[in-house]
Amino acid sequence: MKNKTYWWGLTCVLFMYTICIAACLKQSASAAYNSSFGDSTISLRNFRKLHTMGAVEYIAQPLFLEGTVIANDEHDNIYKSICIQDKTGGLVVQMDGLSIYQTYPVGTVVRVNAQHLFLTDYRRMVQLVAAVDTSNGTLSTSGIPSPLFSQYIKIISENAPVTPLFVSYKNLGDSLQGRLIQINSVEFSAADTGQTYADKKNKLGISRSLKFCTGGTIYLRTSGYADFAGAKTQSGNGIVIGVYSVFNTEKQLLLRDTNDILLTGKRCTGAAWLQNLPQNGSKSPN
Amino acid sequence: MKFRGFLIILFTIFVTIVFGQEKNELFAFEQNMQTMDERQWTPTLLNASGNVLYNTVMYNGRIFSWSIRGDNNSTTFLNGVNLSSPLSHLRGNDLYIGLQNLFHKEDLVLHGAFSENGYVAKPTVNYFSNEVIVGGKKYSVSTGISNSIYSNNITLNYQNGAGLNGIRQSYGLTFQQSEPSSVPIGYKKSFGFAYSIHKDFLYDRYLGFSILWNIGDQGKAATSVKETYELTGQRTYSPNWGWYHQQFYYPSTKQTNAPVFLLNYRKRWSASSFLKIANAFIVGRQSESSIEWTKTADPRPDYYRYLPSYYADSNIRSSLTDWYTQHPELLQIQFDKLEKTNKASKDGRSYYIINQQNKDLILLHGSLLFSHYFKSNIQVQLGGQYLVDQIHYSNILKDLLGGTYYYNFNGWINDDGSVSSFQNDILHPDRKIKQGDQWGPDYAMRAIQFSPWIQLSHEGPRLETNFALGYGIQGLQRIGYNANGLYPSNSKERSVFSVSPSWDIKTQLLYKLNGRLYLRSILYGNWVSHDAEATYIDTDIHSITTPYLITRLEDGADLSLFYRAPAIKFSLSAYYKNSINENEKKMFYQDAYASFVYGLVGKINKSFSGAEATLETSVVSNVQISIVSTIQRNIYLTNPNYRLISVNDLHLVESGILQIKLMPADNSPSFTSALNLFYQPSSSTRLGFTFVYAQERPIAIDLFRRSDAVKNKLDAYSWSLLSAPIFLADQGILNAFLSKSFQLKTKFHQARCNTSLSIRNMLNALVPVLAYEQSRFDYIHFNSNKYALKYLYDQGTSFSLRIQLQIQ
Repeated sequence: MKNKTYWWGLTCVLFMYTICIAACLKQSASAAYNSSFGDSTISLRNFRKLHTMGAVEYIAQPLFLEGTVIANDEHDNIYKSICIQDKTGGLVVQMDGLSIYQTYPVGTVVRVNAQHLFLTDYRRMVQLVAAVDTSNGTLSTSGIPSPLFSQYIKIISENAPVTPLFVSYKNLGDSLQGRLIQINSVEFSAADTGQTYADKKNKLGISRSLKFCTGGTIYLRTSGYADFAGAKTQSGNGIVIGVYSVFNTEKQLLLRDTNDILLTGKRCTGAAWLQNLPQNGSKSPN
Repeated sequence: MKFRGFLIILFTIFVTIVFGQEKNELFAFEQNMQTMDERQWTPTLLNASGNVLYNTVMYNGRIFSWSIRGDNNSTTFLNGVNLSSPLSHLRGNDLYIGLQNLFHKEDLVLHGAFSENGYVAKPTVNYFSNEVIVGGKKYSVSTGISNSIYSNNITLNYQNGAGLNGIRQSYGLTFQQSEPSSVPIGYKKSFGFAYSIHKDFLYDRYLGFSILWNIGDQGKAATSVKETYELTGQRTYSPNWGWYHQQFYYPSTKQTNAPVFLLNYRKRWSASSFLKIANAFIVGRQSESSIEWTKTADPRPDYYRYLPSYYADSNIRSSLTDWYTQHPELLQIQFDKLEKTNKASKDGRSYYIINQQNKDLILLHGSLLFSHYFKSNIQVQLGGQYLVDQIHYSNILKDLLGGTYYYNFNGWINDDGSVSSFQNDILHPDRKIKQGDQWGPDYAMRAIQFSPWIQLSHEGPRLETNFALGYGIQGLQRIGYNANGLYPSNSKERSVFSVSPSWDIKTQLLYKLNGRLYLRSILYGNWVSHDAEATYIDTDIHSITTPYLITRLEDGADLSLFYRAPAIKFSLSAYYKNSINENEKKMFYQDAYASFVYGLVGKINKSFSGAEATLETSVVSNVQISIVSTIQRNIYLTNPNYRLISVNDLHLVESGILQIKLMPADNSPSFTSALNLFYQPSSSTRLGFTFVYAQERPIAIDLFRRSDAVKNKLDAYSWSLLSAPIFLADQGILNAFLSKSFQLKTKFHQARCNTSLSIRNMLNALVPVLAYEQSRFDYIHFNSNKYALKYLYDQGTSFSLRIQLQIQ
């Protein structure tokens, strides 16, 4: 019996030791990862968790975010902001400047000091901003002033590879906000094919519906200021890459440029396609 | 021998210690004014126009823009030739700046008075001559040291006097230099050369030939908003320069390299008849450089979006203020950052460049003056002026700032999706320009002008009568060498020759009430030709004329009373000038239309009127006091028409009336008063103090924000705030001047050393030299503070020390 107890005890100790070692190893790896950026570096997913939809959170403590720029204002579809992502999530950083892409091109790894900034959301799209104003009854935000870019955002490295995350329709969710995603087997709804991405003449944004062959719709949102706003949507089926965004409950995709869209295949057929027949046509600008 | 050694030592000291210090234009101007000041104001009829105090005030230091008297529109004649041109952007003064000290002043005509040098329809005319004065050999070396923008200089001059065969020659050299960052304009360097050869022939004929050649390169100051002056704590702050590779870098510069060849002929038949012919030929280049950018962030450090005031959030304002306090270098242009942007761009496209605008000059100007006296008291003068000018305007890419090419696009055009509208050269679209390549607008402007005139004078025992009549004909033409994408049909080839006449008429009566009291009246009227700037909307891209090309009229009168006694001189003047049918234009970004527009204003009527009193008296034998006061009212007389037309296609986007009636029409203060104290203990020593005080000095207003279109969108109170003129604080400045002369004599030579010290703004007053409303305005929310007033401040107390040694 004693012997049995001994072996049982030894097994428990070894089991606990194994768990502890594993845990310690994981902690150690994480610590090693964080050590180069300080203890206050936080993943984008955890950082986003600080936000409650509709609320405003002031970041009082020094928190550092590290991410790779995956989209910017190079083609004017994204305005006064950059999108950064790490392995855990993405985030929109509002910046009050023009031609930000020249300082922060896609592939730039940046470290953002979030202290004294604010976490807010615009129609449920989470963003990091420099100031908020509710004096007129609605929330308005200001990006980081361009003279302060270097104070808040340090460039760590450049030309990092940017790979979109493949996502199916059913996996589209808020955790993907601000991330570069790729969706396959999609096509513009019949009403939105051969149309301009946006109203370039009147500088009005337009949402075009992209249908999944497997069912489901995501809206391709394009600004009227985008340099490709006047280009025509393709009629084929294929791949679209873009920054996942939301407008309230609507799932949206923001193109970086027209190289992100490759719709050269044949359009969908079958039951799934039938489900995707156009219902309301294109959305009105928001 | 000792004397020669002394000279060598002195010269060595000049070269080694003071080399790189310059003679400055102000100083030269002051010196010229000194000449005027020294001129005896004799109460003869013809010489009754001098304004002693005007000269004295100017002499003792520039008085900023505190005009003592109304209209400061002046012109300069060099050896009888007017070097100004109806073509745009010619900097006539730069052709000889720094060389003025080799000239002597012949005459200064103020307030439209008559001149022995003929008739010019300008209120103020300076006549200079570099004719070598008859006499013995003369050497002179002078140097000036200054901490002001007028910097440091050294000038050498040699005149051979009456040489072989009556040939007189003069050689002059002048160097000016200010090291980078030592003066508000950044830097300055120039080398000037002047040579004159004059010969007297039989039968009282004279022929003179001169070359003036000034090669100059200097930075340019820039205005900024009050906020940046406060952030930097520097009244001489300029956003016009920056750091580049740890060095000062000045993108905004101007250069001149254009010799002036002057040929003068004079024939005198008798004491009562003479003929003067003068011609000037100028060939060379003037250029200006500036930073340009396209499709990128604004590089100007004082851009309104970069300043704390732009942000409503107090925390951001505070953060930005702290940031700029810790990093004052961020309020200068960050050229290293611009270079990084250019280098990082795809295939090396430069978004920021330094552009150099070149103006290649070929100018031929001349004048003719025939004068004859009948019965010693009736003078007839006939004359004329002509000019044949061509200026070729083009651009050269001066610096790619790290990039490898720049597109030949017009950055001012709003990209409306048209494939060619922004092409500067539609025949060679999308051309990639390398450093040193020519790009952008490429065209020439031609002007031909001929203006004969006649002037009659009669001098009676009590009444002197003068009458002048002038006529002019002027032609303007644009010759385009490339077709741009916006106006391919009328940007290339020759435009029509735009011809316009002008008329001038002037009378002057001087009535001798008694031996000490004179009454003078001047009346004049001019029908004026428009210059190229006022004729065309934008010569850079087409030859379309402005819709408000109406004959401009000027009329004016001046009534003065002069009292002259040995102990006291007194004058009282009242004057007015009306200017009818002026037009103005500017290009600016109109926020409400989110595009660049040309703002055109026509039928602008202005009135300049005022009264001036001067008093000059001696308190004791060697102390003289002068006082002058001017009250003036310079206003717009009517509410003129305006149009806003799109830069892209000249499409009319807005038109209406500007509500500017009775608004200030210039920056002159309503009241200016100057007190001059002049002490001369001996003939060689002089000390002067001048105090100038100005009240109600209006800032220059932007016309377009005062449109009825804006008025209709505002309530009465908001409109009253927006449209009201803004005045600068009343201010006074004190200037001082000290001069001392020494005589040195040797067995063979006689030398004279003149030294002078001028101190300006002794009380270190913070004086805005310029203040104006920006062209850009918040046409959406009508927030006047969004695009704040811009200022240029005087640098504060400054000095100029000048030493001149003349050896005969």
